[in-house]
Amino acid sequence: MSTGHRGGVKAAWQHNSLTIVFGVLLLVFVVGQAISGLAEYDETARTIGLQQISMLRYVTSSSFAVDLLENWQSEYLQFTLYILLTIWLVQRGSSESKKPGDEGRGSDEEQLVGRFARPDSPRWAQRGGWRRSVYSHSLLLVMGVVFVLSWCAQAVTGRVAENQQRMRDLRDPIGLGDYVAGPDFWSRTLQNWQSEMLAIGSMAVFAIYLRERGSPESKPVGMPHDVTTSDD
Amino acid sequence: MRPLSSLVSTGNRSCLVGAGVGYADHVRVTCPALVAVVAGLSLTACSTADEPEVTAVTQRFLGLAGSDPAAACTLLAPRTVERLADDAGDCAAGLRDARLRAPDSIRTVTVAIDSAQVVLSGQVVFLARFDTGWLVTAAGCTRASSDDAVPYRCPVEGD
Repeated sequence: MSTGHRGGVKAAWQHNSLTIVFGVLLLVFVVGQAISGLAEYDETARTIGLQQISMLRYVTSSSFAVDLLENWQSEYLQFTLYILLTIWLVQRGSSESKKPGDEGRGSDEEQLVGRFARPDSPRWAQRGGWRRSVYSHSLLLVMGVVFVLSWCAQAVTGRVAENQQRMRDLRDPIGLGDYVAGPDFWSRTLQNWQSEMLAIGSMAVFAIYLRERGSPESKPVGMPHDVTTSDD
Repeated sequence: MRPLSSLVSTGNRSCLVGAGVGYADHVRVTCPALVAVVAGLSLTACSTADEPEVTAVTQRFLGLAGSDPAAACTLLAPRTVERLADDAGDCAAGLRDARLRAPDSIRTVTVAIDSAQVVLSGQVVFLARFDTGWLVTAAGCTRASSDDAVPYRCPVEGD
């Protein structure tokens, strides 16, 4: 490996280690889910005297897809809601919140847009009109769109997985409308939503009183409980 | 101190933030890629390619059940063959006892992963996919109840 290439890899790691590690962990866990999911699928098939399937068939089946998507949509919902609600709602003392009194969208000066933009600000933040409006909400837009798409895809694939089970049970398959009004769709959806709300709500409260030295998700260890951010 | 929402922007920076060399390219690549993955997962719901074989197996099975039950048994799933053999001594005898109707006109065919249902004008047939192709798991089925949760009643079915 050339010195220049090694330096490039090192720089990429230094600048992007968090994204790289989470990307790798995502792949590892998806592979783990596929292996364990296939084992469960095949165990059920053996029990009822049906054919076991290959890994390729399993990971391209709606059975695998719905298990993946029901978790994806809830994660994106969690962050979409948190991004949105923390504009106006606060939790005193939490590192996950703005300070009480700072609620709202913020001024152009605080947001570094228009004439307050820096020379190195993103181009659409420097401009006015629809570009700045879109860019000002781009995080919420992307997260929200991925949530909606994932949730819709969960409905489409969940219906197929449900219909497979229904036909194994010698029952009629159902249409998409009946599926999204039925218990399987909402059971999958709500069991994920409640856990996301628990995790993020408890994180907001734990961050008031508990610390993890060195983590940007925590206040400094010696910061008083009632101080909301390190900017105080 | 950065709030949790900044973790999102860090974890997905390639989707969201214009600061830094090369991030604009990441926006153009990562966001469509994420949407494409979700769209691709939705495509797993498409299974119409199996419908012709499911239809053909159903018609062949019902056609043979009356005239050549031993041949029709080769189109049955293993558990269904076992059940007929347990009940009637052998599969062919079980099929004869079941007195299945000849193939009627097909109303709907539904395939979901490795299960299928064929609704004919006088009966319903269920199938499952095996390495050797689609095989019948239950036939001659009629509604046992107006309650959708109650399975069909089938003279030919597995355990």
